[in-house]
Amino acid sequence: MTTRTILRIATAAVALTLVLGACAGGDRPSTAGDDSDDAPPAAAGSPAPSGPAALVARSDTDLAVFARPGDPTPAQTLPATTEFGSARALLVDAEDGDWLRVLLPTRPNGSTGWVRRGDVELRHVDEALEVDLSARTLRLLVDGRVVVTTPVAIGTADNPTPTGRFYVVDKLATGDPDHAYGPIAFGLSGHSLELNEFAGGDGQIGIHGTNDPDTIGQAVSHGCVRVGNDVILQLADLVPLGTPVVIG
Amino acid sequence: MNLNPGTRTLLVALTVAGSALVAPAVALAETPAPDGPIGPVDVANPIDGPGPCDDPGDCVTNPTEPEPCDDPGDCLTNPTDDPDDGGDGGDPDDGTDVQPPADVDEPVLADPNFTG
Repeated sequence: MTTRTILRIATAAVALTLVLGACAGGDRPSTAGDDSDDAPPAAAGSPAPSGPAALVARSDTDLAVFARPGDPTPAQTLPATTEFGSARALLVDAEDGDWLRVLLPTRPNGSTGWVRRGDVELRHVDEALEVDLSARTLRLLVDGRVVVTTPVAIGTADNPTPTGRFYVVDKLATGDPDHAYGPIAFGLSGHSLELNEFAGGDGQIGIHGTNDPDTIGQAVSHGCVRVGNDVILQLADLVPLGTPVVIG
Repeated sequence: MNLNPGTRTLLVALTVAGSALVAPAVALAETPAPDGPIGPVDVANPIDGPGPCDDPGDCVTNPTEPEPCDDPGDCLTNPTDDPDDGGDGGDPDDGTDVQPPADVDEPVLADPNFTG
């Protein structure tokens, strides 16, 4: 072995040492500007990428609703409260400058109108309810995380629970845990497609408790979604007016 | 192997130097990574990393030092620089469009007539 060869070997050994040192340095804390590799992994239960929280427009006065942004005359005026006395809350569907498109709690399902931004107070809602008619389950999500999953009763084949995107319009206390709707009933913005009138109402669908818990999990209602009384009480503590409800 | 004295001396010197570099490299490799960034990261965003330390030397050797600095000049950061004192205001996407959360409304006493 020549001296030159030995020198090459020794040089390679030193270079390898330096490389090892650099690799070990890879486990060291990052410095500002190179933290991209050190971003923490997404934690289990991270919010689903379902977009921002829902916006809800609230008004404590009669609210003018327009057919189009900029219309000089409102198409209708919504009272400050619902027929049951709930505060007025409308789910915002889109924005256009100083105008907000809102889902209306009127027939046909999916109706929209425009309100002036200055006429309402905007709030964001992190909660969302999802009803799976096939699985006959209801889920409450908060910030995209499922916090409640429960079996439900749904409409019959003759009076099916309508599908679509709705929201909570009313939160009513029946005052009687043995009431047919249990202690709490949520009124939704949607209506039955089969029943234009029911028990003096206009066929508005709801989510409520029941005095017949054996029906939970079955298709037995006139379109409402029934849950256990313990569940509806839990939901009442978590769900604000305007909470989106997707039924599908 | 027949080596002349100069070559032997050079080889020994390089071997010693290499060993001196390997030891700290192995030590670093065996050191578990801390939970958060330290050192220079604190300069950019003091709230992201572990708290600054009392001893400037600890910034390098003890990244988990949780105690705030007694001396603003300690370490590489200034612990008296409150990150909430008008800094970047958080996520720039928050903007001014962020609305306050909705309160959970109390139920209204009523007799519902939904499609039970």
